Amino acid sequence: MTVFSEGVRTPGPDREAGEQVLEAPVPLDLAALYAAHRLPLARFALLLVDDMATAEDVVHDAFIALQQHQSRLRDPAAAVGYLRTTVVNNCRSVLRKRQTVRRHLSLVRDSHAEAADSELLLAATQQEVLAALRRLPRRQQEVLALRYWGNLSEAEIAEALGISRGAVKSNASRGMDKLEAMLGASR
Amino acid sequence: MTHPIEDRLREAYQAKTAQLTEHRLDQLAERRERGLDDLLDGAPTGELPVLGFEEVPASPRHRWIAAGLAAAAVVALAVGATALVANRLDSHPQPNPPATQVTGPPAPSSTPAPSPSASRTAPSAVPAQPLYLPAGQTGSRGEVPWFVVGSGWRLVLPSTGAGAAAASLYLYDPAGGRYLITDRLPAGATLLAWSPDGTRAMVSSGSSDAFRYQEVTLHSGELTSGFAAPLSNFVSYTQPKGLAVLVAENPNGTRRLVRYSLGGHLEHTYATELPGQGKLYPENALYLPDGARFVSSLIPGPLVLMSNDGRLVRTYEMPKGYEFCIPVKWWTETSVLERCALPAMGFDALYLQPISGGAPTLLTSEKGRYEMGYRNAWPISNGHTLLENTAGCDNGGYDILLEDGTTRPLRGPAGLPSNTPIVNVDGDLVTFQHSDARGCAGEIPHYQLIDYNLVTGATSKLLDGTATLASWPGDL
Repeated sequence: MTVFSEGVRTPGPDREAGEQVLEAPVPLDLAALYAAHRLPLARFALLLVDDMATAEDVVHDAFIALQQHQSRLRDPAAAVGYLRTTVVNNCRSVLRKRQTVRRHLSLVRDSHAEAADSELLLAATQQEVLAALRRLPRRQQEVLALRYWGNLSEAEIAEALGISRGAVKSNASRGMDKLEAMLGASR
Repeated sequence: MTHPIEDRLREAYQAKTAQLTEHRLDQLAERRERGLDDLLDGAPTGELPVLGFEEVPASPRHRWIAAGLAAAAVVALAVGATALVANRLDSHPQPNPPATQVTGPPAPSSTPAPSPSASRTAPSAVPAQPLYLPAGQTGSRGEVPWFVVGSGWRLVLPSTGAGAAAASLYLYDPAGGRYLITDRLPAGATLLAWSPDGTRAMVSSGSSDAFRYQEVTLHSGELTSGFAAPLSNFVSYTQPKGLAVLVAENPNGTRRLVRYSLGGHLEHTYATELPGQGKLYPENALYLPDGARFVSSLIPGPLVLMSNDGRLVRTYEMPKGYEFCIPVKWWTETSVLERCALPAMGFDALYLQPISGGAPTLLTSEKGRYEMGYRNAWPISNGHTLLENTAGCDNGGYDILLEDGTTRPLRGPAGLPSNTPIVNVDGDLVTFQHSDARGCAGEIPHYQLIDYNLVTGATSKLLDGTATLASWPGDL
């Protein structure tokens, strides 16, 4: 989780003290980024889309987008933020498509059908919390995941979601209150 | 200030995300790449995937970029280059084929949804591979190059004769070399399946009234204490990791499907009869890759889609005139091979059932050379299909279904009768069980297992005697 919130650590050549290092843009080390951030980003995406294959796919797309647009990044340290925002946007896109498909097609998939293996891995109380989370508005789900799983600051969450810090605070507060109400009621 | 439920929330997030590992991500990435390959190669993708949008492959534009990223990652990690890439790309993520018994005709396998390309790219020819042992040579477990173990590798448990103290489990590489995993299995043990995550093997031992299921951890050779389920048959590992098993048992004279944890905890007992539908056939189940549902069947009746908790999700169409159908294995990611029977007429036929519904289509229009029809089929990398054509008393033979829909008898290894049973199929590699006696009566004194490549015609002896085999999960 700390990796999730860390900035990019692009290894650079050794330099003498005082040497000018900002004359040319520092190229992104995509392989290092990929190795360090693919899993935490995919886990974050999993919390939003609730499906591993889709999570992997949206993260993959995010890295593709980063590769395509890396020349626009002035600061390599912003790459993780860019990836995070792209993952959020990709997840939203997936969820929109999912709603559309569900409206128009008769699929046999149960909503939130869990694997037998998953049942073994998650305790009943954890399943209860996750089920309650799924009933929250999407924005609140995003804020809570970034706050309590990603350990991001309000500012970082605001940047990732493209909302104000005040909106982050209010969504987090409302989300937690609703969760508490739902989980309390189910006890 | 800490919110009262913050700890619970963090704990739930941790538990949920811990399910997604690097290994699982690699598997998903491979699967996505395979989907792209299918699109680009013009492979059939016409059916609507049952899993909906989640399963729709990404657009082809991703392919070269993905390849670049993957290559960069591989280079950055400096992992053994060509061999690794070749084998990793050839392996399949969610495997679960049960081992094949050699003491009878090949049993229907329950391989979870392999991609079409996976089934077509399984080992048709084994290239020079420095990581493989020379054919016939035996290495130790510590010498196994685990990072290249994948498609084309097989687990083999040779049968033990009367009086043997213990049985051994071997891991065979695609070139025919083998590694001893353990020589401390119970005498008489048989191999049932290779776990979906590729790390374990399920074996069974004991008599039918004291049947015990145990797992071997392949990396360590350790054998679990397992659990006993008398009068039962192993049906399938659960998906996607194989943390539980489905078993058909009849403790009270009524055959039923149950799910046990690997420690033997009874997790679920499925209804023997679905209200208003019919009896659930407990001997076959094909898990969907997500592990949330499986394909089973009604007897008499058609295939059905069941949820893990025993709810009937969907009833499929049955071909006209048949009495019942049972699922044999996944044919593509979106269709299941089913065997439909007409007991009154005494023959079977093979159909392909789209998992999203709709009418099943006949795989081959011919009944075959033998009176009991077709029992099983395997795709070959050259576009042909191997068909098992059955007759009474373990007799029968094998046909090749050509692309134009006609069939011809299989020309197997020289010297083997055309009706020699096949005990395992792994891509293009079939394993014949050769013996010097066949038929309904009498003991069969000598067996040899012979590997034969359907495309190259290469032949080699796997071992003397009999064995149970399990292909790398996902190989057809």
